[in-house]
Amino acid sequence: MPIRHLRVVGGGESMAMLPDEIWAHILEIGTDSASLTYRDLCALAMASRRLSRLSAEPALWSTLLAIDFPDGEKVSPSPKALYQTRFKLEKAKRAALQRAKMLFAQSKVAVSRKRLQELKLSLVREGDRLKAAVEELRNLERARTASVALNVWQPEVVRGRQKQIVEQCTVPIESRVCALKMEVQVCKQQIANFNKTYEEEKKKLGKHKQALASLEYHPLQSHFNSTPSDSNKRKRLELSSDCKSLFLNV
Amino acid sequence: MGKTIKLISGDGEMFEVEEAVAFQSNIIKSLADEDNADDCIPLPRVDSQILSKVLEFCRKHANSPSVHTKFAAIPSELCPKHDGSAAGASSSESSSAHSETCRACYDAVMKLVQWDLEFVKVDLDLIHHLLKAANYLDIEDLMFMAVEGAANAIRGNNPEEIRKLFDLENDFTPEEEKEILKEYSWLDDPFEP
Repeated sequence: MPIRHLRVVGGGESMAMLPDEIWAHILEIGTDSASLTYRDLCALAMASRRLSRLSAEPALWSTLLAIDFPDGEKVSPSPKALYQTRFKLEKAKRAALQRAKMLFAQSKVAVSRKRLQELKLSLVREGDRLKAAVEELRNLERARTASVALNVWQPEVVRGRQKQIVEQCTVPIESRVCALKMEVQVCKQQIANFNKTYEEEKKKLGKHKQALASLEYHPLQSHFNSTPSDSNKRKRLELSSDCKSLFLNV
Repeated sequence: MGKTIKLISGDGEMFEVEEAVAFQSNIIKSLADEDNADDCIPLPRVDSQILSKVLEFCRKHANSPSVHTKFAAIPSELCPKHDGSAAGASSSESSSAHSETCRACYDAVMKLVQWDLEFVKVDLDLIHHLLKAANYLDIEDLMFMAVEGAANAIRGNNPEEIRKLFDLENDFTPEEEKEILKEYSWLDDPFEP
């Protein structure tokens, strides 16, 4: 927070020596134009007894109520206490909303993770299917080669073995080979699809994790940030809307 | 060039300004009205440095409407666009109608407001003197802007900084301090003791 340096000119007469009336005016105009916020009034109240008295003026807090909490009770015997109540309520609401957002973000991350796991299992399953199909195809190829070879003169020892292979094969080779080749195609297609979906889901997970992280690491932002830029903006808006009231058609 | 008024500051310097400029101050205006013979007005409580600043402000505001009082209607004579075209409406009815729709008037007012905001972006010491002068001379617009300037100086500080700014003693007892800290614990970023 900036500390403005006093330039001492002649005697050390400080602004605090101005009469109450002028101080009241400063606080009144300051809150009216949103140059002074609730934080400033509290800081004044904590500075000295006199400023505490001056800043406790109910009219000031009524103004703050009208600016910061425009929809709600307008009249109250103690505007300062009402402001405090509204403020706390607002704070609690924001905290609850934040928690809800967190839970939602966490659940999105969990759902994404689960989907990725399921996809992995599917990929493994499909991979196994592919392996089995390829294996069976290889065996059938061998059987086919063997039966062709049997039709050609072969040395007896080789013939024996090939007869064995052919006898072992119990299914009609050609149709089975066709079916297996198709199965292999399908498996490969499925694996490609699963891989694609997996990559997409991984990206989604990344996004959800980022969203969750940003909720976790950003402190609760106050609605009424009393940073100079915000206040300046509101003050200029106030002044310009004040002038605008002179020009109804603008 | 209209009638001029002579002002004497507390440290003896003389300032001669147009009536329209000097009459921004209600005090000077009423003093000038009373004193027919002598058009030299002494202002013992304002020194020359501050008076020249005040007059700078008044000069800027001399031919403008007061932007800070709520019920100003800008007469069409003051409109920059209609400068010179005196022919036509100058009755009071049409001047309020004029000010409500004239873009040029609106722009002029906004420019003046910006100038004013810059004018009070000064250190607290000067604002203090401007406040006193505006109060003493009863210059409404300057009072408003000096007050704005003071509020700006206050904004954003914690209690310790405020005490330093205004040369204040912490006149709370330690028990009271504890009470106060508790009382203001509801702030988002509570002030440290």
